[in-house]
Amino acid sequence: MANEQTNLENVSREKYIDFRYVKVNNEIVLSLDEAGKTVDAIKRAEKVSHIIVTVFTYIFILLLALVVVFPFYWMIITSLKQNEEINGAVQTFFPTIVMWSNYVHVFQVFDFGTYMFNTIVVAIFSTLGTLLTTILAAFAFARLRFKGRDAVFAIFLMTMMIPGEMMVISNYITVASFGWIGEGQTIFDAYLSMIVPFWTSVFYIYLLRQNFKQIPNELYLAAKVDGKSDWSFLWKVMVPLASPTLISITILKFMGTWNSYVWPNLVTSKREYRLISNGLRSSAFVDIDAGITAYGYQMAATVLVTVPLFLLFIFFRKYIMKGVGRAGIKG
Amino acid sequence: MKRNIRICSLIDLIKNIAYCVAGAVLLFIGALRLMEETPGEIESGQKLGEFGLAFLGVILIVIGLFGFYWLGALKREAAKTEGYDADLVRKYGILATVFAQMPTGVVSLMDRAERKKNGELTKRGVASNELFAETRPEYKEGYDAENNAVIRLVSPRNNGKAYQTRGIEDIGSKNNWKGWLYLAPVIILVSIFLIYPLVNTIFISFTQDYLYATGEFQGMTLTNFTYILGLTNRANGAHESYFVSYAIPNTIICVIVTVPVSTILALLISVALNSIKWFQKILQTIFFLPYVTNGIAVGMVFSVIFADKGVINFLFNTPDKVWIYGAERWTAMIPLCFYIVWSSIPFKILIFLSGLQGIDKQYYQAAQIDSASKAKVLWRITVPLLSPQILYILITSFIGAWKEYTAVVGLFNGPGTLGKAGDPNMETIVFYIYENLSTQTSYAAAAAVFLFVIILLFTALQFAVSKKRVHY
Repeated sequence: MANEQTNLENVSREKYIDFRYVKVNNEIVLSLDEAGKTVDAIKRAEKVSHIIVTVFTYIFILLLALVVVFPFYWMIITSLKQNEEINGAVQTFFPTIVMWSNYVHVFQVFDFGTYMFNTIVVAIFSTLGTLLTTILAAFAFARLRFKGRDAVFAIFLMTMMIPGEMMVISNYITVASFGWIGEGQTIFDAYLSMIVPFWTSVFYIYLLRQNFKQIPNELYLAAKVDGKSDWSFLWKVMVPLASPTLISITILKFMGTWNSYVWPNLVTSKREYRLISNGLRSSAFVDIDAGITAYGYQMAATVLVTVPLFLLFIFFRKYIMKGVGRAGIKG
Repeated sequence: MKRNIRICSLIDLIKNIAYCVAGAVLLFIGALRLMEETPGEIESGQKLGEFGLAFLGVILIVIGLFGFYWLGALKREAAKTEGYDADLVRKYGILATVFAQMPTGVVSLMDRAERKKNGELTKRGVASNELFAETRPEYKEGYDAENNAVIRLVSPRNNGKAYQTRGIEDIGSKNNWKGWLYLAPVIILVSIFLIYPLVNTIFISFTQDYLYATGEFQGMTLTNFTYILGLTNRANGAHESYFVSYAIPNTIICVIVTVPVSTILALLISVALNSIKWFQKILQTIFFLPYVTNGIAVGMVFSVIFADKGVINFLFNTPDKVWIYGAERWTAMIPLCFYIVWSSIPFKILIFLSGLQGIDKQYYQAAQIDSASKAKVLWRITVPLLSPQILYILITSFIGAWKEYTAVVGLFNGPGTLGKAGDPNMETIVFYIYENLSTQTSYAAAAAVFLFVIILLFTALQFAVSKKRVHY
């Protein structure tokens, strides 16, 4: 036993310090506030400070969460209030009389159906076009090798830095020269001018390329053995494997159309051709009796515009947050 | 390797019908619109879109019809082996493949239903390999010594290529001109709607009185820039003061107030969110909510909250203080900045959180052993390790803040608060661009180029700084 111990001692002295055999250095100074405390006391103090920090963290977070949620809450309750109550000296945090009739009125004044239809048509077709071009381009960038690929990709990435406002002016002129804007514009022209310029997105190409690059090369060889062409490999293997990213792109694109305001406002000549954001801001929600803007009606309309987005968010939370979050991950 | 024989599929049938119908609709619309116009317009190339549409329609119809033909051929081949509806196919032949679809589809559907019931088919309705080999002994996988050939069962769809076992190349390994085919749609769209506009806008910004409808202009000039900056007047004596006195300062205020505030706030929130245990997911979702809203709609909500009889005045006991309509410029900046911060925080939190989750826990354990304070941990560990994300956020949010527009429209429904003689006192640079787009295209282009240069300079500056400060 003793022999063993000396053995150990030798080994430990040679290779590393074994604290069992090292005397505590007299020069070690404990910090002042820990002096004279037992281990239990220090642990307890740490626990208390931890609890305090946690409580403050929660207070901080909950307060800010309240600020974040408050506009939504206010939107909903204002949409259910009477106009007198909204403009009253004392603000109530719950409507005294719940006015569902605000919504009825809004449906009569605000042409929700038309705007909704336009928005959905534009969203569907611009998303389809974007998906198609994005998949093809991402496949070429990720899988194929040809001269000039990297140069083209670099140019594409550079265009992401250009503010969209630079493009709007000339795109407006381009679309006008296609005959889609101007006198005698039909609904079909309006759709085309809102859809075609948005059929490509460099950012989504970049996103999907990163995803395609992660798909192992063995799958491609296996598909070749099975007699698949590049084309069917893309659609039968790559696309299904990248479907989460594609779903994210679809949803983000849909949301983008739902929120687009500037371009539809520019290129459409008639109110009936516009999208939901334009309709919301251009409709006058006026109380006929008082002659002033009726916030109740206005808020009811904003609720109608916001709810579909919220539903989308609830059902596709995972994809939306992933799609947005991926933007920040360096590839 | 699994090989499935697809006998028949109703989906193919429906797909072909859909192709034909969609093509017909497109063709119809395109033709209708072409008929509407006078021939002169077509010649001048104004109606390219309609031509394209009609063409697309024709292509779709061709695809659909070809699909019918091909499906018919498949059916006949299947009928040979299956034998159940050979009569039908023989009766109608190639010319009537369209009619042959329906009975074949239905018969095979009934057949499949029965076979499914008997457990002969897998869930997805395809016969398994073993079953196929069992029911048709004449087709067998294996080595045929007589002909010195390997026999494998393959789908009738691409039986030509099914046996390729040599000459398989990795497309990634050689110079593949097909890449350009895949890129073609994007390159066309990008050059029409991205590259050309960039060049064209810069060009327009140097032209005098550009008319977008005709493309005419009165020579090249530099005065567009000096005019919008209020340095020179136009020939008729008009003087532009709004761009310098409102658009630029307002935008700069948006940038220098909202970017730091929202970034720091987002950083604190995400660090806090990352450290808590309970309700983390729910709170994370709540903080993400502003991202999934319509900017205009929430802007209107904020203008109600900040109304003179609104809840802010009630809560802070400042009755009838005017924030939105008729407000002073500097007062109206408060709700504007508040709204921008509110709406820009969720994206940042999401990015920061994903960055935080990637940080190795060992750093924090080491800090704990050294009993470093929380502030020190945040400043010395979290922020440096998060610096790539912070850089990304700073660049994107700077660019975003320079382009502020929707918030102004949502809050004020116009370029100003309707105070002080109706000046556009809340105008931003982008607002100025959109306002002048169709009436004074040259000035709008000049303003856009101005913005472009500023953003480029800013981004370049940030990249330069990041070389020293960002730890990858």
